[in-house]
Amino acid sequence: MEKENKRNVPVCSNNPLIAKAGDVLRHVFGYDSFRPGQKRVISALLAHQDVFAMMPTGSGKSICYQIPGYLLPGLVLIVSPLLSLMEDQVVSLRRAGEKKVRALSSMLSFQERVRVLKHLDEFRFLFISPEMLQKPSVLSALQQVKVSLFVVDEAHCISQWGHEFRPDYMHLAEAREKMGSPVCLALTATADRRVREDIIGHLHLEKSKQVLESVDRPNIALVVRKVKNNAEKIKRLLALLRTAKWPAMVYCSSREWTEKLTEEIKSALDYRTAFYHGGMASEDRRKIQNQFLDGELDVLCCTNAFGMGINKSDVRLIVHFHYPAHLNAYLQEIGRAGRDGGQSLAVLYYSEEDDRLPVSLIDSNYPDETMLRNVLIRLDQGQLQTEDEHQFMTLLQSEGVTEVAARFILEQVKKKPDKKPYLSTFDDCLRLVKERRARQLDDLSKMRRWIRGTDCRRKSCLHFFGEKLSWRPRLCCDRCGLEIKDFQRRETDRSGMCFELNWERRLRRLLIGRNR
Amino acid sequence: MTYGYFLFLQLVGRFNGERSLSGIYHLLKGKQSAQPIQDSYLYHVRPFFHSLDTLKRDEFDRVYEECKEKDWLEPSDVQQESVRLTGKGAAFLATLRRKYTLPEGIYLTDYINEETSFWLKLQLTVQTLSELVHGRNAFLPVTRQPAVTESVRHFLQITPIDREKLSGHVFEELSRLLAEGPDDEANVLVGQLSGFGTGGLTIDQLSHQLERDIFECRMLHKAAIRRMMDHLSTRSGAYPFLSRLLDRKRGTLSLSASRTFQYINRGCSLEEISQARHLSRGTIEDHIVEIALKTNDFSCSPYLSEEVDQSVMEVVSQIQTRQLKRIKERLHDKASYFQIRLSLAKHAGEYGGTR
Repeated sequence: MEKENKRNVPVCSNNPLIAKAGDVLRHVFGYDSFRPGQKRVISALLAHQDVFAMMPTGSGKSICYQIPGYLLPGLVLIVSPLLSLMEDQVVSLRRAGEKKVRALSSMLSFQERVRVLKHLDEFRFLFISPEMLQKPSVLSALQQVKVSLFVVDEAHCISQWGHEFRPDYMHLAEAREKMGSPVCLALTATADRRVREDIIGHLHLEKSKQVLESVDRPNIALVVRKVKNNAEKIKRLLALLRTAKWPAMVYCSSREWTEKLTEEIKSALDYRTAFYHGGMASEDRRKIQNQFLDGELDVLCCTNAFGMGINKSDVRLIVHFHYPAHLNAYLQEIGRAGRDGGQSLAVLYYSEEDDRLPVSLIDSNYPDETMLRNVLIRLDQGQLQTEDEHQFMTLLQSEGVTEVAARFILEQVKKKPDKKPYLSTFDDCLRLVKERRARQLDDLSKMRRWIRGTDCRRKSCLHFFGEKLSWRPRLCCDRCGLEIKDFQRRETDRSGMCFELNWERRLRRLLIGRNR
Repeated sequence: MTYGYFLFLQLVGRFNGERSLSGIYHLLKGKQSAQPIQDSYLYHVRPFFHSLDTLKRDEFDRVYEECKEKDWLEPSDVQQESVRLTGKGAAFLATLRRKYTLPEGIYLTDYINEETSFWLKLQLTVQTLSELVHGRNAFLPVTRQPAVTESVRHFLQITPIDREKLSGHVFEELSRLLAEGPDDEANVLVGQLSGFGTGGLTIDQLSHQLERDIFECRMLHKAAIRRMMDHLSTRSGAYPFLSRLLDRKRGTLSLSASRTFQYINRGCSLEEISQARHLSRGTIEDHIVEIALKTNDFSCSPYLSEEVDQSVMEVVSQIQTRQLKRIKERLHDKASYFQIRLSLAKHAGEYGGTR
């Protein structure tokens, strides 16, 4: 904690705008000091300068547009790729006492959407999904109000080099222009040089101020452990959980593994453990998420479906039971630890048999040749249509194409020039598959090189992002030497309360407020 | 798992090889299409309809595989992909019947179409009030379904008393409602409710915590919901607040069938309805069968003469089946499939009770 504070920037300033920003920081959000990067971003924005900011997960990116919301006249519009992200941002602003905040997404009822569009001028913050921003009715409503700041969150989604490419992000520059080109802030957690160039190019941010913070999170110690097989992995995991600090998240590559590990942990350790994956009903996912946020769980076994928009500050341990396919994802996932600045630990277990997994995962992102040709021919013959995108996707998925691959096909055929047959795009599609696949394999090989590397983990990780390690924390990584016992739980950190299962007591606790 | 066997074997016994495995699955899921709706009446398994609406196909298949391995099932000769009980299976089912019963509330099937939305509304209402009375005005809602959100918002808006009081009333009414059923059901239901500082448990978690079969937990949950809805609608005066969460406009008919029913009541013929609604004749026929099943005093005479009805019933009593194909084989051109279905629907209540 102490070291973290040293790197923070005191609020006091001669610049009157920044002094005001400091007031908002203290009074609205309850922080004493800016974190690295925040002040530079905010002062540029307040001086009407566009900003491209790269700040690591858990470093307080949101503050960068939240504070200007209180100092600039008009609406702060935040484009966000995921509903869960928007939801989380709205909730955290509401909890800070902000009422003038809404999210506009396809999940709103028609009536609610109309209500929001009617009252645009009354809001301070509006979160919006990129596909909403493409609707003419939404855009024209936005043209009627003053948008003072146009924020692109998770800006790496704009880049085809990025691992989370979202085609509808490509239209953002156009939308911004139509709104009279308000000041723009593009935010991302991790982006290598290629992705950064893409973001800047697509959003026309060539003249913007660039604030590039290190992707390093010094309060997270990095450990990689090689093991023989899955059985040993489980043994090691249980041993680690027996002593290490909670709450913990265990990332797995599949739904089955999250369930299996949950069973193992429950039976061996009797911890409050649950699993979370994309195959669960949405209500169940929300329940588990709330339990985790409310501190009712010690360990959560999850796939990468969990994480985006999960703002829990005191996660102490992130375990990778299987490694992700690129370092970006790894950094994002471990970044969910220690948002409060407290010492945290990331452990990655790795065995030879894991090497097969990511490649097949990458392959499942694309249609194979036969399937692609088949779909294009059926489109030409009119047996398939793309007007109803949802129907198109569902149909392909029912034929065994993965969701990502189906979306890929959809993206490609939507770009087809009029009058030309669909089949004419075949070669272009294949070339693109080959290119993207090669790039992903390249990312994967970087991940593997990092896992097998013998150098300091922190240093070599930063190297992949074109950074140099400037300061090494005491608890750095397994290569620099550290003991798991440095992260031991104290006897007093007992597992919290169990779930209340008696219905009368539970109901009373839920519905009767504290003051009775 | 044994409670799962109990449910599955009962249905296999009831269908006696005349329905496919998918038919059983769709019945449990409560699929809103003609076949499962019709089956639920013709085979007197209405309480099972929609009873396991969250069941996944692979979970269902696992139960089937295990029952097969234990030699409780044999292939049926009258229907593809269908099974019936072996002697061993029937004997085991008899043992299970001594051990387990279906919870009483499961038989209250009048509001089946609405139970999913009622449950979501109830969860969101409790969660919202819970957060509000603890001073939190922002939280992650348990559901985002627009229709549910709208109706809970409406519920809170039309109730002109402060949140603490409203929460107190909801607490009092819920306590009273739940106290009328067994504690088992109440624990399963309330265990799933989320609110301030606590996320509701999933059924899977509850099954572990209570150390009870997950299928049994699901049935207890469903029984509790059905009992509540029944009480709220028959004694709405005693529950002025919670009864507002019920959507009284909808009956047991599926939405599309209820529209067709409106046309029928206006005196439209089958062809006219088909044209007006841009739906195929077959679909309208499905609706009429559904209406005949669910509406006591519905007159089938425009579609089914006394004479045809009689001959269908004769065949049914001769060969003891409810399988359309086998009845049709006997009747040849004397009756259409639609007429056979309608006749079966009309007399659905006459052979063998549900319990």
